[in-house]
Amino acid sequence: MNGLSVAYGEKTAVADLTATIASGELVALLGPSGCGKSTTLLAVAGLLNSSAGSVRFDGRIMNEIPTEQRDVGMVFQQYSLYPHMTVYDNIAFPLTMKKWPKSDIRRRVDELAELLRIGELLARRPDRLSGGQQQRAAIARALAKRPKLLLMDEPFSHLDSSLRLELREEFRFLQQRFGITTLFVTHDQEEALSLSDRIMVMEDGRMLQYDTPEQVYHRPSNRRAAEIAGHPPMNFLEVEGRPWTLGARAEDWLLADGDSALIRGRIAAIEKMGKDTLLKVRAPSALLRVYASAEWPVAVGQEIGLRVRPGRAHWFDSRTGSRLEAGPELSELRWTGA
Amino acid sequence: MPAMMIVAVFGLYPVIQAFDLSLHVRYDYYRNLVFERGWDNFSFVFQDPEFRLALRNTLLLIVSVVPASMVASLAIAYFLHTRRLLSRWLQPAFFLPLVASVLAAALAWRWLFHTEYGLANATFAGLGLPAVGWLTSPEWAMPSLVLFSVWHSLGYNVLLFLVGLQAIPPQYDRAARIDGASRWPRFRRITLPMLRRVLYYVSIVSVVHAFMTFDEVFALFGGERAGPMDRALTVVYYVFRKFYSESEYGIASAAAYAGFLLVFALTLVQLKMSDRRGG
Repeated sequence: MNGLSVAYGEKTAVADLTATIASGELVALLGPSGCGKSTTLLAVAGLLNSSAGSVRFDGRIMNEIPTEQRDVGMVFQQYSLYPHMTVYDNIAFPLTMKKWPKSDIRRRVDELAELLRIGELLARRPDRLSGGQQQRAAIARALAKRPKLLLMDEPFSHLDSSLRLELREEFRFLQQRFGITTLFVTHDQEEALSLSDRIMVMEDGRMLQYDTPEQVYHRPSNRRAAEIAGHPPMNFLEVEGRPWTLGARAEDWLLADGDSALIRGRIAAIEKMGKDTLLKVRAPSALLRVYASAEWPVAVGQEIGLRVRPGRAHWFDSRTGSRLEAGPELSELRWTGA
Repeated sequence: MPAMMIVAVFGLYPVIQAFDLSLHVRYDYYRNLVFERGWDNFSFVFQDPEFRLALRNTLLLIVSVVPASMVASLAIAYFLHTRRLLSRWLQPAFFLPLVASVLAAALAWRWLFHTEYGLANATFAGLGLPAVGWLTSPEWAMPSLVLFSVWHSLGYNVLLFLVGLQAIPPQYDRAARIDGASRWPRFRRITLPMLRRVLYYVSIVSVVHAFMTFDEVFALFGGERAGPMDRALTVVYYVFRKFYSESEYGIASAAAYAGFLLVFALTLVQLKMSDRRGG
């Protein structure tokens, strides 16, 4: 993608997006709803016309190539299997369109059905399948013609959580095994972080960051990207009198007493989340979400002092939100509202 | 129960009465006296060359008007559906047949079909073809009636197909484009099968409507006879004439019944087909 923009009338849905997806990579488009990630996907597929910029596959400009000839596969959120065809005919459809010989189609469909474990369902119609089975069949159909690029629009978001996890892992295995170049839309930061080779964080039609999950998580390029990737969202503290914002993730806090405390606050709520305990700490300047270690003595209403784990502080420019590489000395600072 | 009463009084009673009437051989219609009942009316009807012509014409209308109108209206509806912007301007033209009264429309078509001054013959002349007596020559009576009937049924069918097309969720078309299907395969393999219910409905309604063809004949050929030399005679026209002009009430009823059974059988076949295909 090079300077790709998509506009609906006056409104620009996606602006000036430039990114390269390496062959065989799985790239997640992550962002809140309405951020333009699905629009980007449709523009890459050619189902929407771009208003500026270009989309290239292997260096070839695709702008004028209609969707039918782009050689992409796509998995939609749900309900995209043709309801009047059996699962077999659904998976065979892209191959029929390519005029493959019948015996080749049969071989390919059987192979895909086995990979996605839907071999027994081939004679059924989509309405006789569960949501997970439908998405398996949809993935098989999208992969049938061995597309150059696989597009997925929140394919697992309508499945319940255990099924989602299972199918996600299976898909990742297939994707890596066959080196399927994939562009994947999700609003689920955990999905993006756990599944992808690279994440494109988007907001308001703009790309905030495009990097590996590790980089996005540990070196967010700006404040919004830091908030979008990671749950609970990163905590922020504003430095009084200076245009600096300190960011620290919930798991990056340590107990501190006396002078070593960066900030003091009162525990407002305790959430036990299985192995983790999440504290909501009401500090004068902010409500912090902090994971407590097992040895912390915690009780609602108790006052505690906190400091950031060394090396885990993120600094952002308060005016632009962009990342500052060198932060100030922590000990000398006062926070707004404190 | 009230619904059953209404069906019984307004639906069943006339049907039974009409059947009874078709069996009246010697009777006084006005004093409701019957001296003899039998199947004579039916045997007369089936031997009457006029009825045979009417039956042949009606079947001809069914096998020509129904498919022609369905293909044309589906094409128009698909065109309107896929080109939203243009369709804003064109839509009224296609719905005109729906709202125009048959009489008004037939008046316009009588001019179109006029042997000397009509647009149809003017076009023929432009193409170097000889003039045709659309409404005046016996052999052109049925083709003219077919043309007019197709046109007249367009509006309603286009409307139904348009509603059917709009009820198909757009993601299927998107998915098919992704799957590499160009316009015609998308229409043939995705859109058409998903329209199946509407297709069956339209075909059944169209068959019944074609069978009922009467007012089109009456209006197009001026009402005195069913086209030149009666060549555009239809079953309902035959019933009408026997009943109102010739006061052969028993024969009219027998003809109506014979025709009714025919359409009933056709419709059953259609329903069976739609059942088997899982419609």
